Amino acid sequence: MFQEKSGIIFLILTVLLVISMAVGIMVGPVSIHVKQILIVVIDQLPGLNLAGVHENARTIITELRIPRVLLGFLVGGALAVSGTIMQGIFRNPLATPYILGVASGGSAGASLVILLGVATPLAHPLGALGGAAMVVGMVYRLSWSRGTTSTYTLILAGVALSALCSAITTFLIFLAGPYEQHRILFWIMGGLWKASWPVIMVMFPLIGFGMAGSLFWGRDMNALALGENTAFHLGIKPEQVKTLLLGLATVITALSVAVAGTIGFVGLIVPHILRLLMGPDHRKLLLASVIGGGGFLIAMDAVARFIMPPSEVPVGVITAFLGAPFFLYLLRRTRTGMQIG
Amino acid sequence: MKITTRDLTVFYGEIPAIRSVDLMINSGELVTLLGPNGSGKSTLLKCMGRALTPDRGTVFLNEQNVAHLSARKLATIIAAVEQEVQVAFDFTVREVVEMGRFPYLGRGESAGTRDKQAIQYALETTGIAALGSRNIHDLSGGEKQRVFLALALAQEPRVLLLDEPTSGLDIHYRLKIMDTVQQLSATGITVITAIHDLNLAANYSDRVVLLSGGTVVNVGGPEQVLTRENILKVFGVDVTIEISRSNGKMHISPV
Repeated sequence: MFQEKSGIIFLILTVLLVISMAVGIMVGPVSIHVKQILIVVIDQLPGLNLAGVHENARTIITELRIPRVLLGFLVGGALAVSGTIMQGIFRNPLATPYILGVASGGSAGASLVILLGVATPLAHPLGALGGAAMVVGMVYRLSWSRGTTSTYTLILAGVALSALCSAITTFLIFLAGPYEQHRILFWIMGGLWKASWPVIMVMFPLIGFGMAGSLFWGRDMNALALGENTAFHLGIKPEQVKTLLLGLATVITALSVAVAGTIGFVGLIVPHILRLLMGPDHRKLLLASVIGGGGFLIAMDAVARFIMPPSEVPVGVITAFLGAPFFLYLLRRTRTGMQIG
Repeated sequence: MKITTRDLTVFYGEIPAIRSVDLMINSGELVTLLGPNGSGKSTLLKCMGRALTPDRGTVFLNEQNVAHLSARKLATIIAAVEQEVQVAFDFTVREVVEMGRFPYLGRGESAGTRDKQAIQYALETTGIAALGSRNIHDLSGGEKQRVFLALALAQEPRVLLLDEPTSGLDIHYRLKIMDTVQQLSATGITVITAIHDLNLAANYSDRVVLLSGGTVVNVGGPEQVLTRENILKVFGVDVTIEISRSNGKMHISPV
């Protein structure tokens, strides 16, 4: 019966993902009808040649909307998987993908690049990646002592360095001229507007590989929920598993920050919603995070483009507006099972 | 399986937690480690399960040095129940016990018939089969303790290490846990347990190891080791020891 129940949830999640993808393609300054999407998709198949779609609509669908939806899937999935891993490894429901400083490091790095006026297309993502890598590297280095990393020190070092990086970013904004200030703020707000086929071609294998890799470690994460000592007695090497999973989560988060900036709440609430729906078994939770996180961000991005046309509201605002009330609701109903001291 | 320690020594900083401990525990024996707080019971158990690497000395399973076993292999031989296990997230009892099969299953492999049998056996032996779908956080202390014992049993271990399995439990659950442990030892599992309750130790153990300040003071049957003199020397408490005529049970009470 249990198997059936999670089977149904997976089915529902997949249906929601498909619906949010369709809506994501339809919504925007130019609205597209479902029929047109179908025709364009079918038209891509070899041997068929259907008339009936305006060339503009075709371009909007294939060059703008589809890459955007795919990027939403990758970034949303990466953040949700990373959140699931962070909450699981730190045994803390408040953990987010950004807890080790990836986002604030990335923001500081990107801000610096913007301020310096480097204008090549790869400059901002690389600046963000560099910043994120530096901060996370320092966090690990600070918490490494006698062959082990203390999870408490990791969290504290992450929080402290995040605060430092936020201060650096603020200072950079203060130094910048109005044009750069605008660009920095726009970058920090985060969003999927960088979506394009080249971005997808680079990100799909990297993030996709990372997400797929995490799926094999569900059982290890379950055992770690019993504490490192008990996990050890079950045949796990806690230090190895922790390093690998935190590394993996950090890399996919850093990649998503590099292309989409800081998008909050996806990595916090999606794992929570899924855990409420299907229980804490990470073997299911990780896969559900890929599907659910992807679908969630695509849907939120559609809302962001829909509510104030023709401009788009930063998607982080939408995820927070819908996420914060839900999170407060969760706090109200927090039970002993979610609090681990 | 026989477990032997040779010259086992552990330092916490400069202070020795255990010093040159030599023990030999036979297959299927139920041995209790007794001693005051800080006498080295937990440290000794941790070394036996390799959760702690000794500064000096070796632990052998039969003739095999435990340091040379892989983590997974070790987990199929030794299972350990820690003093206090804090479970993160709302796992069900069955889900927790299923984790005991970890060392037997490859990545992505799901539980087979043999695994399911082991899980069912563990649930039934510990008397928690009816609690399978309950949230672990909704259980009482005594029920939780049995869940972690079941988790250890699901590993189908040959050696079971229990660190104060009865602490915090009422008299009913204390006896129930010890009855289960005794049954397990009768099936051939070697059981080593640290306990504070002298009466439980006296009446359930095949042998007792008395520890003080990290060294072994005395090893032997409960009647030989748990004497008034030894207890006074190690715990600093004067006791009277009675042996019941009706059932032969020892009863130790402070004067």
